[in-house]
Amino acid sequence: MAKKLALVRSDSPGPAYRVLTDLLTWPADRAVVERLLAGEDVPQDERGEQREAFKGESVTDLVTESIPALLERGWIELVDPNAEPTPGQLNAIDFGAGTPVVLHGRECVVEEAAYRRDVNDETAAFRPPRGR
Amino acid sequence: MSTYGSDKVAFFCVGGRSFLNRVGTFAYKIANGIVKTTPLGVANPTKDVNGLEYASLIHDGWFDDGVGSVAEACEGARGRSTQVVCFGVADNVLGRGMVGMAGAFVGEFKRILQVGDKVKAAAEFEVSGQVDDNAVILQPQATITAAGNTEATPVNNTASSASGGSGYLVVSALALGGYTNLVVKVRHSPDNITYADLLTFTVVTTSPTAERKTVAGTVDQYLATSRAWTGAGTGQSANILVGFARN
Repeated sequence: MAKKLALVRSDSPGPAYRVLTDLLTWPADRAVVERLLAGEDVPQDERGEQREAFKGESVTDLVTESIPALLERGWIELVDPNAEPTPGQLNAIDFGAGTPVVLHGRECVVEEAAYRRDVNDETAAFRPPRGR
Repeated sequence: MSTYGSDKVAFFCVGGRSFLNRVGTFAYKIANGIVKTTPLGVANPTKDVNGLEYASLIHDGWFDDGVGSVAEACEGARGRSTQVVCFGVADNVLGRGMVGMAGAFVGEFKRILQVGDKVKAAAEFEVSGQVDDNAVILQPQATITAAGNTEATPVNNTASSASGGSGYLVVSALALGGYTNLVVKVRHSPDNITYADLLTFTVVTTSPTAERKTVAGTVDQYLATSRAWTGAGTGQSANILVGFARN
């Protein structure tokens, strides 16, 4: 059973989506997105950083205008913010109280210190901090 | 509609070998299979198509025994070995048309020797399977060095299509420069903002090589390509051409 984690919703930039296709890319710069939305051709050297997200990754910064089409195509799915995190979704061994972590693309903090012996074993139980 | 002079013939590649500069005459033929349907008692014969479409390529040019030459492509591919063939007659320009086929095999290859003339070569290719004569150029044939993509210059189909398609990759030259391989993809987007992979070609480790790869389902309105070098190195380069035909 995973230790309870408190979601920090106020810091979350928006709903989280899980990427279901191999690789999604989009311009990281909103100004570039605005130009593209206006139908402008934006040369490569003006496009700035390109955001990448791989399959299984949760993201909160997708281009809002793209989301309906991406959902329709099955390239992303909405992550349920109230879902209980599974052990396999935690990717560090030590979680002290107050430790910020990211789950489903949202920023969270650990309520009670806990650790897992094997982060790759999804069946491994969370345990009290070592030494107790 | 536009017409194009012979100077606009952009490329002619067999199995990744690019030998446009060794070809003087080139003919591409598509023919319907014809069946005779004349019954007894009829004075004027009747015919019908049998539903089969036949494609063939004929070219005449100059004999060359170098690596990547027409001789290597044709003499090395005798028998039932098929090769990916791509050619473009409307200039080597993004979004222009090209023709691709995966099942072309050499039906006949000739060396022609004549007093007072250079040795010539002529080949006939028979085509087995589908011909994609509606393909468009996503990456004009050019030498690339850095990783990148063509998302700034996508090909806009004005709408998505629902029945998949075929991607073509031609690699005429490759210098890995220490990198493990080159990865080339066709990518698509519904809005020219967010792109996803449509198909990934087999990683390239040698040249010349070419591949036709099919994909099913929706192909979105905008098409682009990406290329990436795997590993680490320096001085890498590749001469590539990428095209895509929607079904």
